[in-house]
Amino acid sequence: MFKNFTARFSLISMVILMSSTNNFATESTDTNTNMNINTNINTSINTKKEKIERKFIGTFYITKTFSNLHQHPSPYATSVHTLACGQSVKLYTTNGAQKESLPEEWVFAEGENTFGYLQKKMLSAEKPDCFQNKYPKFFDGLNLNITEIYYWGKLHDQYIAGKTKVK
Amino acid sequence: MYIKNIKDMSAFYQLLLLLLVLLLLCVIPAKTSLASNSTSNSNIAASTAPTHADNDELIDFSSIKQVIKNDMLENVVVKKNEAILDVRNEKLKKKTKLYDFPSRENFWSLISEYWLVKNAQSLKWDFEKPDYGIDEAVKALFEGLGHYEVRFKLLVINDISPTHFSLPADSGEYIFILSLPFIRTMDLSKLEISLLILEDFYRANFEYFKQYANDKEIDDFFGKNFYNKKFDFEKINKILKSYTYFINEKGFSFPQQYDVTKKVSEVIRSNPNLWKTYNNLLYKIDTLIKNNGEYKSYNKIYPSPEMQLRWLKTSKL
Repeated sequence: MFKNFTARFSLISMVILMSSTNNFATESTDTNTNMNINTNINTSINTKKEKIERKFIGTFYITKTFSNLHQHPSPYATSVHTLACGQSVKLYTTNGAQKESLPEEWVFAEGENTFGYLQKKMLSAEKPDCFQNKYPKFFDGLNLNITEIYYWGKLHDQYIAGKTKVK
Repeated sequence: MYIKNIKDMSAFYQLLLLLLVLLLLCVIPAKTSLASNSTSNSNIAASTAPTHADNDELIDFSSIKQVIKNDMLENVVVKKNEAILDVRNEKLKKKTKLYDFPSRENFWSLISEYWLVKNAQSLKWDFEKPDYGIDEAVKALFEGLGHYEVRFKLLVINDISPTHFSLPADSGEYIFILSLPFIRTMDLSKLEISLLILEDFYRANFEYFKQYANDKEIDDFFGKNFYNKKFDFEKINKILKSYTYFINEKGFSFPQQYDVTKKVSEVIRSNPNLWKTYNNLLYKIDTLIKNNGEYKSYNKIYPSPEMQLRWLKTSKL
């Protein structure tokens, strides 16, 4: 009888305890799963980075109203992303053969998780005083669409800019 | 009371088991409710602070005014209300600042670039081209004539019109348009191109186009704030339309052309090479517009190369 009692009691109490802690168990396994996914992604990106062997130089800021990240170091190459004035980009050195072919006025950069090439004239080490930030409601009122933003980035690629020297 | 037989014993233990189960079921919800109570308590604690984001209402203590007075807490009430007012004013100031209108000095570059963006297809400036070295030639000419700290942006277009133009820009900045077919047809040298841009540089300084394109209703907004004032963004579209009309149809007047030619003449007269090159440039343009039907509208915008040559020849300038 006692054996029956203890067996039944222990069984029922275990069931109750397991049901009460079940939620915590599932949450913890979910987070563990998420962490596993994240580490997998990170390792895959890191693996890609390791293959390319780029070294981080520093963080710079876009100085033009809009600037395009290009697939190749040419103002006529396909644009992979458009960045706005004031946005930060991470600059990387290029390795081996790529370094030799990279024109002097171009850098390899990452902006908003997109890698590409930017002209140095678009960048500044300090965050600039952008028109969009000084007059946000006025700029928003222009209601730019995606095409206009893209072309605005292209415009700065196409400009032949110059400055006469200081007196 | 003694349990006499086996049956009574099992019933007793079953009852005990049931009680234990019930106890367990009560304990677990109690723990969770304790946890939620503690978070709600912390929320209450946070919300009592007068600087909380949601709590920007002035506190009304009128119902307990006498109590506060007796406890000499009036100063505390005043300070709390002042703190809330300061937070409210700060928020309003930040919100108002978002509605700043650009000043006259930094309005035009944006509008000119906006016009270029909107007319990208018709102007055909998005095309691959070699480096002509025009920027170095322009820099050399400008520096030679004493124009220092001039920031310029030159946009080469792949269309016959506009042939060349200087768009309104911010103070100290210049935006030039140059037609590649135009300069190729006349086979202009870098110096001739630079002199053409010099002409546009002086036109920009005279602000003829800026005065035409400016909407007088916008004058009231320059450098001010339009929070609680309605700014009609259709005015910007109106300015852009006036850009298109002036550049393609209206152009400059004879007196304006005379002033520009006179200015260029004054600056380059002492340099025989520049003087000769400028005359040669005007002659090439005059020949082009007389012989090439595609450029017959050039006189509408820049009247007239023939008159400019006469003004130079008669040495009136």
